[in-house]
Amino acid sequence: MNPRMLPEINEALCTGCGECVSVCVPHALALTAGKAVMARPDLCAYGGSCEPICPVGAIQLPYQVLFDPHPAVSERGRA
Amino acid sequence: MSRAPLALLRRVPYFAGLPDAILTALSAVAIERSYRRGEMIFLEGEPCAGLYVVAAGEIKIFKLSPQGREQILHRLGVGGTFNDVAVLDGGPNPASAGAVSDASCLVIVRSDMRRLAETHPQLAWALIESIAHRARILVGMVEDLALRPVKARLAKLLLAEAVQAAASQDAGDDAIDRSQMVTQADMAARLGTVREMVGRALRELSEDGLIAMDRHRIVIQDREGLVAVAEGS
Repeated sequence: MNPRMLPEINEALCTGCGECVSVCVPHALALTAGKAVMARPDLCAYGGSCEPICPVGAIQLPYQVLFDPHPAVSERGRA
Repeated sequence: MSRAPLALLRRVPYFAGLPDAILTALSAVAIERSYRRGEMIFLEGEPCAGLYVVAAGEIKIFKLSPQGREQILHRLGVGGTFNDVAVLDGGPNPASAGAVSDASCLVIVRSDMRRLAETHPQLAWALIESIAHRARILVGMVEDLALRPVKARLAKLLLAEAVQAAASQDAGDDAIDRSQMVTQADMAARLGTVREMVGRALRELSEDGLIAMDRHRIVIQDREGLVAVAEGS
């Protein structure tokens, strides 16, 4: 299995404004020493609200793009 | 460590048909350089160091706007070449290059390339083919930027990424490498737009039932439907 993917925080860009921490519903993010950090990675739901709120683009969520391994479900959805 | 220069040069598509004597001559003058993820390889406008062949990892070729917005022109993996244009015309690098992952490249300086091309017409023809191929890609990119909306360009990019992921899986590589993943900022840089537009287009595709966002996966649920969006039909 792949390791659990988490949002990437660019510490050099982060200004410590705390916007991402305030919108993180599961409280996975926290401010430590003036920087946003993934304090509770086990709580991160990859909801993505932290990325657009960051005014300096310091948080990014990497995605893997793949085809549906169960295409029959999507065929039914299109009918 | 990256693979031996000769074996690597055989993996360059337009070098593939060249006789061993030419590839041996190229490998004899090739210089290996290593880069950390995120490191710049060269900057647009700098004098050309030579032709680069990716020996390991992944690199990107990009332009920066005066406001710092990045437009990615190409992403290249092992066997990909870059800076062909500057090698041929002797001008400065037409774009910047950076390492997307830890990477290494073979560099063949312009004077060596020219000397070998003069003595081996097959090599000169291979270079012409590579430039023609590059021109074809750039014409397609101009068409996309000028004629297709962001949603259609995004649909095309998602399909290309999924095809690449499927090819990796077919090759037995099940582990997902970070360099095989894309962020919304990556997608914006490749599509000539901003992250907000990518986010909006992803939401629309999701609401249309064409894709599903599943944690760190973007799952294409309706391939035909996404192709239709990419083609603007």
